Amino acid sequence: MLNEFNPCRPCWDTINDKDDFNINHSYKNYTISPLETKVERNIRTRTVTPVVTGSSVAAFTFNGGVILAADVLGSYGSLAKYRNISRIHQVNDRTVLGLGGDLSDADYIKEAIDTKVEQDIIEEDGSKMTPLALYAWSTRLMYYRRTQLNPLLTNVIVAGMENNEPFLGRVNDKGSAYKEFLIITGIGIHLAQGWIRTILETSSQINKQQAEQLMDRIIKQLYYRDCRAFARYQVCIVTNDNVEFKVKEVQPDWSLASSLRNTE
Amino acid sequence: MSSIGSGYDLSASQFSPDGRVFQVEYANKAVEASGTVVALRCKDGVAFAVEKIVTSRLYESGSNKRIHNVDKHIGMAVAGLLADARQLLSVARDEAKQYKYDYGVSIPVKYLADRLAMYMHAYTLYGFVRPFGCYILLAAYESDGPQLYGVEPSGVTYGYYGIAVGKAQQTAKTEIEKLKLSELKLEDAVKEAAKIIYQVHDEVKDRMFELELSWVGQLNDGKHERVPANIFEDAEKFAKASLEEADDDDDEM
Repeated sequence: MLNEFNPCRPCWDTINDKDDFNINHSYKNYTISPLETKVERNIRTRTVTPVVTGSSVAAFTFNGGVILAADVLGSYGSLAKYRNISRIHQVNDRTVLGLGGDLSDADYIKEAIDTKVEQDIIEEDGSKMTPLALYAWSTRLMYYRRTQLNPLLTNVIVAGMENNEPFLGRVNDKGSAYKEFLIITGIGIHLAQGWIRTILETSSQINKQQAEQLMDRIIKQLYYRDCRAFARYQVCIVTNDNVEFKVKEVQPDWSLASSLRNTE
Repeated sequence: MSSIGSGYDLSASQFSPDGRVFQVEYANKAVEASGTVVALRCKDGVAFAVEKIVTSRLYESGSNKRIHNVDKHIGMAVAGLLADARQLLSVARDEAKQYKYDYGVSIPVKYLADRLAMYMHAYTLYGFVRPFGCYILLAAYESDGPQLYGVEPSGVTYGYYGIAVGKAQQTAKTEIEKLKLSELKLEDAVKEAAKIIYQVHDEVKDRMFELELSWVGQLNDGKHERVPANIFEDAEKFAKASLEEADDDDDEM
């Protein structure tokens, strides 16, 4: 019938040439269907599931700065494959990026940011990447990829000093972004965010040393309960003076285990 | 003036009977009308000095710079039409960025010069575009030492030890030839370049000018940048002092 006639599809003789063995035959390999959108064409090639992943990232602001922590593990599913991956990336002297989720997408984001920052330096117009600018740019990037139905399956945590005030924000793979005094990504949301929020809300502004101790306690908790966690982790502290990186190892106390059910 | 093209100079896609492409030669005229640029490749680096002619006191100082960064390690100085140069700068920056993205290392300045030359040459082949009216100088300090390349409007590129382009290029070239470039250190090369600019500057025709100085070499780890304020002052003082010496010599004679 005329409404079935598609001028872009090759016509073949349905009486003489047709056979019953048209396995894997696809018109889509060599025809352009004018009504197919770019999204539909891409659906077969987009990232669906992450491959090498980073676990949780924890971050909160304290009196005079921001502190972030993330373990140095890249998991290949349940295999602890890459055991020295830095997931906290310094952008310039007042901005850092924390990344969780798919790590190849994280590398893509890191490369894009580094190129952008270098180009800004070359232009010599005095502009400098600030945490808020990076947060806004990351939102645009992540949301754009979401609209193409080809998301970057990473969580981006932007932290630093904005106008000498601590800044902390998160953008996820859907492009949803928010700013807060406490941000945790990954399974840490369920294991840590609740009780940390209570501590931080009820206490007055804590100082740098207390913040470090609190962060160590958070990471230890995640190490106890997250199956994809790792004992070695990286801590980053951003203040008006500098950006400081430390590598630490969790000192777990398993003595409680014998009194818990289902543990040997 | 020089010979008029008389009909063979209407577009870059025409040869004259004696085998010249007049449009490209006219592009060179645009270069010769601009303020002088002096570049010196010395033992451990490259120094740029530009005579940026200021036509009005109302202009903010520092506007319309003629020395730019292409990549962190490559500097570009321009002589000729500034607007044309801005496009070439953009092209050069894109090339450098793409090379870094593809190969993970910074583009060697020789390759950048070749690519820029190819680009400029393309505009000399067709009748519907005009050649770029600017002469581009590229400098870097790489693993095999300092490098200085110049790209002409025709798309030809040469490596140089020392070069001057612009109004006073002949006079400046004679001054450069007096220097022993292979023995000069970068700090001295900067001063010498500033001195040459001051010497060739025409006080009568162009009253005001701003000096732009930049360097790239071993002492700043191959990162191209404008010279620090104190070095700039020293270079200017050295240049002005040598001018006065020359004046004194003239008076004595």
